[in-house]
Order: sequence, then C-alpha cells, then structure tokens
Amino acid sequence: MPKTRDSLRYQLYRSKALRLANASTQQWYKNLKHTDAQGTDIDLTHVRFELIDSHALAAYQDWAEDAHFSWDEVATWKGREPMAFDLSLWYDEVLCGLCFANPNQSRLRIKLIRLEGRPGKSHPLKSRIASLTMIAIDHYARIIGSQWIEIQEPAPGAIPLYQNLGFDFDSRGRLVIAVENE
Amino acid sequence: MGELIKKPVARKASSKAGQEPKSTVLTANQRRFLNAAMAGNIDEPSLLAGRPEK
Repeated sequence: MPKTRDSLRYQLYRSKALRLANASTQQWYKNLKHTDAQGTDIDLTHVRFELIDSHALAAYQDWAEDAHFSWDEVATWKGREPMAFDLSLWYDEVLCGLCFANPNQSRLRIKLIRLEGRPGKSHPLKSRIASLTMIAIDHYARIIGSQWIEIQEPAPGAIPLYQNLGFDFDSRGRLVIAVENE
Repeated sequence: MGELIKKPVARKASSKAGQEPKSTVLTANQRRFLNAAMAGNIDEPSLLAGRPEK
C-alpha cells in the first residue's frame, strides 16, 4: 500500500483514539459525579487529549528549557514513523504532558518511547500524567489491534507508578500490560 | 526433489485494525487508569519514560 495512504489511515486512527479518550474520560467522570456525592479535587471534564500540533509546541516553549526531550522535533519523529501516536495532554489551556509512542511493525506491541509531564512541583495534572496518557494509548492500541502496551525505557522513579496501573515485567524484562479486547 | 522448507508463520495484528470499539463500555484497564487519575495521590516525576535527550 502506498505510504501516503498508510499515513492517512493512521492519521484517522489517531483522531479516533483521541476522540474516544476525550469522550470516555468525560462520560466516566460525569457518571462518577452522579453516583458519588463526595467532592473530588480534580474535574476531569477540563482534561483534553490532543495531538502535538503547533498549538502544543507553542505552549511547550514555556517549559522547553527544563524539558527532557526536544519536542520541537516531533514532526521529524512522526515523519519517520507513520504508525506512531503522539499526544498532548491539557487541562483547559495549560499544557501538562507530552507523549510519543510507536507500534512495532506487526502492530502487536505498542511502545511508549517518550513521556514527560510539565516540569515543576505543581501543575493541574500533576500525579495524573501517566494514568491519563494510558487512556489514550489504550484506545489507540485497541484500534490498531495491538495486544501489548510496553514502556520502553521507564524512568526508574516511575516504575512503581506503572505497576500501580497494572503493568508488570515479562520474562524478558519488558514492562508491559496486556490490551483487553471486548 | 528438494526438501520442503516450512516458513515460520508471521504473526500480525488483527486485520480488523481501525474498527472503532463497538461500545463505550470501559475495559478493566481503562477503569483502573481513570481511578488512578482521579486519586492522583502518587509522587510522579516529570520524566516518566524515555532516554533524556537534553
């Protein structure tokens, strides 16, 4: 299949995954508020899952100096990997996280290559970046037919956090979680 | 006659790729991720995955 058609197809899959992540998060939160009268300190209806576009890159300039990755190069990464999934995580107009993931050739395994939250001690989604990112990655993985999500190089300080989300090391030492099918 | 060489079967993801999940019912993983997002009670570093480039 021509590369341009592949590229368009995966662009459609990325849009679907983001739409599902936004819709399922909002719906889940609204249902929770209906059934749980207790107050919570976060309103997930303000969370937005978006691609890393020019708007995200402009917001990223605010914390680029302290960032761990050169997100300005995301267009190059995407150009090399047409099946890749990129994500910007927002709380209203505050950019809180950036992610780049890529499936292997068979698509059976999607690898989270880069993930970081906004630097600093506090931002609206502090302590929630990994969990919210997984919502979007999981939707994308299910759309493209992946069976596993893998954290390729987990930051040592973040491993317990992934384990808390259900990830575990497989026999080859890879930090993975199985993607559930309906 | 040469011996028949069996090629290993290449595994590939389902050809149903691209199909939107049929229902909006969340999977157990998705519910766990959302519950963790609601709790937000963990100490999360800003670098979560990948080899820093800067």
